[in-house]
Amino acid sequence: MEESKIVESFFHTIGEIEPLQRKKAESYFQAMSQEEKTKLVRRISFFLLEEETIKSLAESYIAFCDYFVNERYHFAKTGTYRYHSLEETQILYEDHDYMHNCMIGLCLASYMWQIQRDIMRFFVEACKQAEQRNGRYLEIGVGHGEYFVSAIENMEFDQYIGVDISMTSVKMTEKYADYVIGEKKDFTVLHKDFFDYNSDETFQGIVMGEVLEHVEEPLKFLKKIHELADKDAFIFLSTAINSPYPDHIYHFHNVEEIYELFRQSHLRVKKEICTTAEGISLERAAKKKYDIMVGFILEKESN
Amino acid sequence: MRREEVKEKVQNIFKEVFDEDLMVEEDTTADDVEDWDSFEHINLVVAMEKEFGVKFPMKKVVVLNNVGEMIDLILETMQEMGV
Repeated sequence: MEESKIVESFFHTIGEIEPLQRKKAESYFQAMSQEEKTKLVRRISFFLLEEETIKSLAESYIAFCDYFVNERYHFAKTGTYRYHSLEETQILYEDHDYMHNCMIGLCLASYMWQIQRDIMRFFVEACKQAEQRNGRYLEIGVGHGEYFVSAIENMEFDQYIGVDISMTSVKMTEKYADYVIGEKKDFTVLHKDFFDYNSDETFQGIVMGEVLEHVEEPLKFLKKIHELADKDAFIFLSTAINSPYPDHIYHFHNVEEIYELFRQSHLRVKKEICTTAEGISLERAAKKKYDIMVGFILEKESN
Repeated sequence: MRREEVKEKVQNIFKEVFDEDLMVEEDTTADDVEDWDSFEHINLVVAMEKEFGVKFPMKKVVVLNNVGEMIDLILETMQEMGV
């Protein structure tokens, strides 16, 4: 299928399945840059080669949106996330359909939704401007692989390593990186718990996007990042505030709670971004406890 | 409960959720109310469920086009649930 027809067909199919989503989906596309549109088409094209169809992609995206609506409903009633422990969410990680819908939905949303797109733009720009060269890059929680591939495309490290606790994510990221990068760069994706991953050498680049809200003890993750990071490493991190989602268990109520964890793990903020959904101010999002995403470029402080 | 009673309660819910002295009519839509977005829509649904002691099917609430349809759904659900 022609590239220009791919997106048209995708949005049309979303609209056929869920008419309310069509107008939104089209407005998202209008807000994307040309580079982002190209990447969205590239991603959809990849999925079509992986035996997805436009209809199955649209269904996954809508299922992903439905997960958000259901959890936002629970949050509106209770003020809390539905689950609070890994024990409760383990069943979700073992549910292939759920993970499949999440990975597809989230990677498409990373270009379509303002709240995701802003963070992706911040990350890509930071990658392009990074001074760090050579050495190794580590990404914790590669998920759908968009950040992993963006880093490989825009940075100058010798080796790129990704780890993820989900085999669905590992396979998806490996295949997507093969599709986009091929043999041009040295990359590996490991099916591993980050706490079981050990390295004798430090990393010159460490990235962890949207992981902290999925874990019980985010401070432990940050401390391990500090341990693995080279003293002048490029460190990127993103997470979510008041963002109910099925496997979000750690509830950040405001950005100050995140700053405190950085302080305790000796990571200093060099640059940051705060964003929310289309048409909503950050002030209103904070007051009404709507989803806020934050992204940071960090540097390692001495202990 | 009569339709007029439901409408009055829905009017109060809108005032509480949007935290302003807002007047709505049965043909009021999200386009007529500045901050009525998908987040506030869910807040309205939660407030209505609590006020009327009902539980709406999520698929029905996301397609509500105006206040009149909300009132229709409330009355329909109350009848189904025997409230």
